[in-house]
Order: sequence, then C-alpha cells, then structure tokens
Amino acid sequence: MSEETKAPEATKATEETPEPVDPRIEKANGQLELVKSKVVAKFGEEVIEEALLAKFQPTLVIQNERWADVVEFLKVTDELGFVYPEAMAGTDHMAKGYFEVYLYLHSFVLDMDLAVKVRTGREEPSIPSVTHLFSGVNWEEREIFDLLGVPFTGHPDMRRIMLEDHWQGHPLRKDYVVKD
Amino acid sequence: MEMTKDTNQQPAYMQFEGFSEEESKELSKAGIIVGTLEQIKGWARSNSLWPLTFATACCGIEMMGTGAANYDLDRFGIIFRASPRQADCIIIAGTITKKMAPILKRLYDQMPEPKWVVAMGSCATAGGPYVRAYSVVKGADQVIPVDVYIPGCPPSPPALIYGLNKLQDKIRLEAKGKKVR
Amino acid sequence: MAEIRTEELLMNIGPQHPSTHGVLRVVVKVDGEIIRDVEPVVGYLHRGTEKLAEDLQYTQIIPYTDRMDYLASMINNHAIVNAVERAMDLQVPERAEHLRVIVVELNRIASHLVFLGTYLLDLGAMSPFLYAFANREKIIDMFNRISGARLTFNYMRVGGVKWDAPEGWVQDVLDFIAHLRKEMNMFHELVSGNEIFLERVKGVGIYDADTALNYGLSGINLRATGFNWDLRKNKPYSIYDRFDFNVIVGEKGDCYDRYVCHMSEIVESMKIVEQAAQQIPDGPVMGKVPKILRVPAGEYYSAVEGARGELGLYIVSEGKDKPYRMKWRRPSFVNLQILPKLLEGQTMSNLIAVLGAVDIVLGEVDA
Repeated sequence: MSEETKAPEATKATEETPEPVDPRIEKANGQLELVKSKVVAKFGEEVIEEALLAKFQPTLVIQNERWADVVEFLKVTDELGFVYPEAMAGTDHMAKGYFEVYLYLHSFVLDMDLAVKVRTGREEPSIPSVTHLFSGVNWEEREIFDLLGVPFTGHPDMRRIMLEDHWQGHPLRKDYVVKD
Repeated sequence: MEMTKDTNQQPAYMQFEGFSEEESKELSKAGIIVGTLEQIKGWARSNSLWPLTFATACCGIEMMGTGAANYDLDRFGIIFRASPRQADCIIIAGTITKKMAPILKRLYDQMPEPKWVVAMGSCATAGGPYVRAYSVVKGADQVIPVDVYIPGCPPSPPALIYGLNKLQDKIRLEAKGKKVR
Repeated sequence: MAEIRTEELLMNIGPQHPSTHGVLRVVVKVDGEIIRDVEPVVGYLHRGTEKLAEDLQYTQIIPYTDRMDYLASMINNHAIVNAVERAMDLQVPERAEHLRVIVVELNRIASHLVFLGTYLLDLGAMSPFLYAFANREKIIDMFNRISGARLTFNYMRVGGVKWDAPEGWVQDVLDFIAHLRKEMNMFHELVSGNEIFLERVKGVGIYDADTALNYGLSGINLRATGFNWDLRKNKPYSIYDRFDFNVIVGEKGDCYDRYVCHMSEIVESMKIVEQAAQQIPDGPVMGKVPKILRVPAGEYYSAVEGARGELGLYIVSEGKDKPYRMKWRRPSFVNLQILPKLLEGQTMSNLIAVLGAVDIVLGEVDA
C-alpha cells in the first residue's frame, strides 16, 4: 500500500460533496476515527504514522518502536477489545525501501476489523514481536522471518519454519533470484 | 508362461515354454507351474505388490481413493504398508520439496530389495505446476530411480491402476530377462 | 526397593507417517507414556505458491489454489474469486452464485467425510473409511461432471463459473442429498455411540474459547468451544444470507465435540445445498468482466469460511494484471499451532486422537 495510490480514494469519499457518500465508507471512517482517537489519547500523535481507509478497511500504520505497545493497548482495552488475530502478512516494498508487516485484528466488542501495519527499513530490519499477546501469530512471525527475512525481537523461537535451516536468502524478497 | 483361453470355453491353461500344447494342458490341470525360478518369483512379486504410503500432496488423496471401496486396489494384491521395511514399491504421490528429498532418499534406502518406484502425477514426474518454485525438486527421479511415470494432475484412480499394472508387467518381463525401459 | 530409573525420550513421528495426514513431522519428548513437550515441524510441502502467484495473472492463480487445501478445492477457488470480485466491485450472475454455493457446500461435505474416514482410521476403525470414501466418491463424480476434474477442479472464474451445470445435474444433487441423509444415520449407528470411540475422544484435547481466540483458531476448532463464529453468518459473502442454516457449536471443546461438529455441519451443508438447488434460476453463468483483470491499486483482505476455518486472502496490488503480493491466511497453518498446548501432559496414545481432530491438510499448512 502506498500513499500516492491509496490516498486519493480516502480523500475522494470525504471531499466530493455533491455525490452522496457511500454509507460503507462513512461507517468505516467513523470506526477509524474512534480507534485512532483512543490510540492518540494514550500514546500521542506521533505513534500513528498514517491512518487511512483501504477500500472499506480502516487501517493504521504504527510507529515501529511502539508497535507491541499499541497492539497490546488495542487488545487489553475493554472498549476496543481487538482480541482475535485473524491474519498476518509481510510485504517487501522494494521501491519504497521498506518491509511492511500487516496484522488483521477483529474486535467482538466493536464488531469491526482493523488492519494495523508496521514498517521497517530494508537494511537491518527489525520489528517487535507480538507473540506474547497473541499465541496465534507465533508461526506467522516465523514464516515472515523465513520468507521475508524480518526478525521479530522478543520472539521465543525465531527460526526458519518452511525452509531448511541452511537455506540462503529469503524468497519473498523482490530481489531474490530463483535458482534451479 | 502365457495364459491362453481355450476356444471350447474350457478352463484356461498356461502355455509353458518348451512344452507342447497337450503337455501344457496336462500340467495346468494337475496344478503344476513350470518356469524358471526367476519367472515364478516375478509372477509372485508382481501380484503382491506392497507399496509404501508416501502421500505428500493432492495425489495422496487420489491414492487413498484408489485404495478405498470404489476402486479397491486390494484386488490386485496391492496393499498399502506404512513402513518402508515391509514395502516392495513406493508410490510417490505428490510434490517433492527440497526439504523432503533427503527423507525420500532415506526411505528408499530403507526398503529391502527388490524395490520399484512409481512416480504418480506431474509433480513427482517433473515438478508439475510448481516447476518454477524455489523449493521444489523437479521430479522425483532426481533423487531416486523411477520405474513408472503416471501423468496427470492428479492422475485419476484408473490411471493409477493402469500405471501399477504396467509396473506388474515390467516386473514379469524383467524376470524373463528382458530389459524394460 | 530400588528407585526406578526414568529418562526422557525423544521420539520422532513423521514426516512419512500414515496418521499425520501428509508430511507433518512431530518431535515428541516423552517421559514413559506421558508427553512432556511437542514440536510440530512443518514445511515439507512448502511449494512457494505465494511467490509463484506474484508472477501469474489472477486467472492463472486459480489452479494453484486447488492444490492448497486439496480436500476442499472449490472453497479455495471461491476464496480467490470472491477476493478479486470484491476488490474490483464485479457482479456475479445469480445462477453462477447458486452453482458456487452448491459446489462449495458439496465440497465441504466431501472434506468432512474425509475427516470422518481418516480420523476413525487413525483411531483404529477401518470400515468408516470405506463408507466415507464411497459417499465422497459420489460427490467427486458430480464434480467431475460439472468441472471435468476429480480433485483439482479449477471451476470458478472471476465473475462467475467456467461451466454451466449439465442437464439433470441439479436433480442428481438433490437425489444424492436424500441418499446421504440415510447414510448419515448409518454413520451415527456405526460410530457415534461406539463405546471404544467415545473413550478415546471424550474429554481429550480440551481448550476454552479464550484460548482458541488467542491462538487465532477458526472454523470447527473455534466453534467446538461453544463460540459462535461462522463467516457465512458473521461476515456474509456470496449469497449465504439468503439461506436458512444453523451454526453448529460444541460445548466443551474436546475431540468429541469436534467430531460432532463435523457430523452436524454436514447436515447443515446439506440444507444449504438443497435450498440452493431448489432456488437456482436460469441465466448466464459468467458476468461481464474485463478480458484482463486488473485489481485497482491498494490492498485488500477478504475471507471465506473454509472447511477448516477462515480462509483469507490478502492482496497487495499495484494496479497491474498480476498481484504485487498475495498472502493466504491458511486455517490449517494457524490451527496447528495449538497442538503443543493440547498435548502437554497427555499420554502418547492421545497424540493421534488430538492431532486428527485438529483436522489439518498439509498442502494448506505449508502452502
């Protein structure tokens, strides 16, 4: 996800006044504002690098250093209650020079999904682990480490999971060359 | 040794090499089989093939389906074994990854002689749809020698049965001293 | 009396083992009969589908999805076409939607039948496997007629389905459902009251809903704890909101509950198939879609209820005809993580009972 590709869509919904706003976007915007205000109230403005709608999906990009704290806050706060980790994925944005990890959480309290993301530079990447919060992301983090080469600090068992231990390189990186 | 059907709807008899028709009939009637020891061993082996269950991927489900009630591999004397020590033949049903290849080699080495290998499906034959993947071995024959290749993705149970019948033919022909490729 | 010397033993199960449902390896540390530690080792079937998908057009990826959860290929097809359609806001004709629901639910039945057969086979019961596969074979025959393949169907397309149902197919589906109703009674007679079976599965491998959520479990593994969560109801997709069916939940979250959930879910799926087959309208099976599919730039996550849980698809697109990144949220992979927790302190004989009940497919675990 990039700023220049996604930002127009987010603004389109709010600025184009003559056309009636899609109720789904309105709802998603409300959800996004709610979560964002809570996080900002707790951690301050700088912790959210970006807040946007990806289609109808509220998405927050979190500062790398505070990643684990913010995710913990999202989980333990009663009125947010994002207790269910649905999916986790890592992407190599080579042209933009960073890796991005995507975590998809569900809250049964708010009945909404929230995508939170964190970025790390391609040189010496590192992201705080959230395994202590969600046991379910243990293998997902190992998979991201294995295939993308992003180590998670604080992970109890940071080893390769899919490939052999002696494997060279990380296949999901865009500059990985597939050898025979 | 070839099975011959008598024209007068009489019970089938075997035509033995070096015997006349009369003698062959007489021998068959008495329940005597004449042949070289190798041929008789080949005949016995081909009709009691015990394959190792080596189901790695999708083909494994078709292999299970072939073993189940509808297709019933047991009628060919083919009974799946879970241990390589008890198996004559290995059906490689599925993709072989680079992580799996050493294990396949080891399983093959653990099987007692004589042993045969069937590569089931296009993954085991040549990598199949995953031929361009970074983690897949491009055909099981890069790891162990393969006797019969069965195409398909996955091969249907009749195709698997046909392939196994071909393997039986091969065992019998090799016992006769013919070279089969 | 001299003290008995005990020592911990490291045992390796798999990757070639008939009860691991593929190429799973489990390293078990045992103290006598008691399991002290379990480490599942996966990756023996890692085929790099996600990397391959980055180099393929969306339609070309569909056959690869067949080969992930190969017991429920139709559902995998549905996951990808649903994701792309949602991202591109495409409309699917009514007839195609109904055909999709019919084949998806039939595939769910087939997948659960394989679970029943193999699970009981693992526990030592031979004959249910034969009965389950005989019934599954009937479903496979129907898929063969509609899609031309027995296992890897490649049936759905973005915007519809590839083939219309052949003549009489829908009626045959209805006939089969009536037949399966009777067979299910036989299954219950054969298995559900069997004392030996109940001893093996009741009270084994228990976990509660909070644990399940923390581990990200989904599907039957989550519902067996009594937690009502089914994407077909909770995040409706396709036309599932039109059908009348129940979400099956368990009570205690043990292996027995998971078995019962599978059995009951077959019945619920039969209900859906019947309703869809009765309501199916005439019309085209392919909607209007561009020749070359280009998902608008951005990122999308959408999920369907697979046979094993939430089957999600995360697409990052740059507006090209190929995805920039495609990540599958594979239910088996996530569900398998709970295995060490379930097995600690259990006896060795429970290992297979617990592992079988988690219901994994290795093609999906490793992708």
